Amino acid sequence: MKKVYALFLALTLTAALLSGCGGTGTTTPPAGDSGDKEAPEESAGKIQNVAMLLPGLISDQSWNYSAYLGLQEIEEMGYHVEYTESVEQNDSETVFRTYASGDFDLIMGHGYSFIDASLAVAPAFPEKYFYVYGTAPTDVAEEDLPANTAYSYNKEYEGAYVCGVVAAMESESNKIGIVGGAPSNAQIANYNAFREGAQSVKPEIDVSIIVTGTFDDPAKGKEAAYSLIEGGCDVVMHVCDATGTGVIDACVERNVKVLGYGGDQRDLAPDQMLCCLGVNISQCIADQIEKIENGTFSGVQRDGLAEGAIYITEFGTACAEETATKAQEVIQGIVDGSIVPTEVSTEY
Amino acid sequence: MLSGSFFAALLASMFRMSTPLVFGATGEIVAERAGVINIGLEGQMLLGAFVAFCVQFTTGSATVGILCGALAGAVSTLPLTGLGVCRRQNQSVVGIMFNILMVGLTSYLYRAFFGVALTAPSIQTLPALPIPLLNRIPLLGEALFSQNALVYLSIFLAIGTWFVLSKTMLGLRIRAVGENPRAAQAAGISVIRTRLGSMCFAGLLGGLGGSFLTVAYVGRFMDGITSGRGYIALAITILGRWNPVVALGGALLFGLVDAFQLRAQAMSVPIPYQFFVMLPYAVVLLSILLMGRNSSEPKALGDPYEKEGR
Repeated sequence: MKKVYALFLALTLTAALLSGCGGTGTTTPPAGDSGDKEAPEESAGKIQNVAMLLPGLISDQSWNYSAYLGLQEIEEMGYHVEYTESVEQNDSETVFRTYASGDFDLIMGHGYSFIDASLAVAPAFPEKYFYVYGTAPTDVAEEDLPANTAYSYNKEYEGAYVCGVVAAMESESNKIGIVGGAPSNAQIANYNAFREGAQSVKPEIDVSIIVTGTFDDPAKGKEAAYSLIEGGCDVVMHVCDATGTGVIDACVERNVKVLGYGGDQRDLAPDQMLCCLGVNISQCIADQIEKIENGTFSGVQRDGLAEGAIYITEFGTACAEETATKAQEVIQGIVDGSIVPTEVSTEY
Repeated sequence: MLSGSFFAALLASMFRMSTPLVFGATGEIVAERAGVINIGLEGQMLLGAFVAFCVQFTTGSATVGILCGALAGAVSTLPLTGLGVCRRQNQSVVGIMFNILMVGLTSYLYRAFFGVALTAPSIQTLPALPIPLLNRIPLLGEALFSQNALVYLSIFLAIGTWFVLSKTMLGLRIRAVGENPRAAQAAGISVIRTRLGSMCFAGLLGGLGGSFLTVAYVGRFMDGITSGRGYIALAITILGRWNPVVALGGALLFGLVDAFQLRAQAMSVPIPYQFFVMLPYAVVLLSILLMGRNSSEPKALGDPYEKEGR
């Protein structure tokens, strides 16, 4: 009896392991043959099934949530989409392979943690397309990238520059702060551009930077925001996904102006939110799909405010008219090339 | 910069950040003194956080929410004790399994109830409960005596647990079971029942620690909101040499360094951020090294107890 029980348990565990496909979050398993495939209008298109790997949870109200919204828009266009959340960096290769060996044509990673996995897996699946959003491979030259990979290293820092301008103009104490998650290239570029934008308006302004080390801990974010506020900051920005929710909550509590990240977060702080740095995921994905159809898929793409991949949301009620106007001017300046924020992605 | 108000704010932050650790470590000490390693503390905290949030969200009452969170933590230890003590399985393995289960369970249930939205549901956090007169004490008054009820409860429980463990008959029974269960059984103490009760207490306090996070601190639930605090509480149990008051000091030390590292970063000190993030953990490790992991460890900790054995 014990042997039968043990065998049953082993089979159940194996089944659970396989269906989990390596992800630690709630997942929709990659079906080899899903009956509810929706054929897109251009059924002659190469892409029908799209999969995405997310580093966090779609409930983070920021980075991952915007990817989720993007996926939904793609789904509305007629593609079949699936995603896996909370994919740890060392699991990403496994998950990429699982999707690639399934029926998925375009497999995307949303975040810098997926670059190495994409480079490792792409050569093994030359007929599949791999797209990583976040940053570009640093130790591989663009010409040497596998032909079926593409990377978006979008210029978030352009948006961060504008946010710096907004923060500086709205600050009365001339102390502002920014809370980050982990210093990836894109994040560091954001911190520096935030500071540069602020100093372009008020050269004497004091900009503090706190890196919490986590994108998933709202309690830490709250404490980080308290530290900034108690240090005298009267405007705080976050670029750290779920941790940032804590930052926003702390600012609401202490009635401090705040800037958001990842999407339109004005509902989280209706009276304190100035504006948010948004990332237009669905546009990026749609662009890549178009490129696949045209046969121009590959390489590193660097889009910014001009292309609409990065955008600044509408200004909240807390934001003065003057600030909003100035910000619009700066955005226009960046778009037409008269203002060029410096990209410093190595140290801050 | 380093003025009185800076220190007051720093100390206030210290108490806030260490409260879940105080709850966790105090409960864990009782369980370990009885001879059971409760690795599942992280899972109990997470469950408590989730249940407390949901109950407060539905009923509107923080007290009911906290009670339910604590109870959930306590009840969840029953299968753990069943497996780890009665069935004599490896307690560490059982605990880790439980933690993984809790991560998945709370994430799934949260999404089932609340769905995914840009504006996640939030609750009003527990208001501060300043103690009149005491909160006028310069520095300490602002830092400690203007906190919310759960912070006070955590300190009270730590001191109370120390008293019960070291000065009462009940405490003696618990410690006997953890040092020499066979002798305790011979003296008429039920080892299984004592261990069950101790684990329930640990789960209760773990649930309280988790409830603090959602009900009193963040006001939201997010998957994995405990972020390893349960595991840190385990380390603090060792740092505290299984003495609740010393562990209280250890938890406060961790909270102090964690609060400090954030403020140091804000002051633009030119040291890489990794150093700051690492600092609290390094301090705890160093303290354990310096204070020595001496013979305070309950001798029968983790050993499976066989009633009919020789």
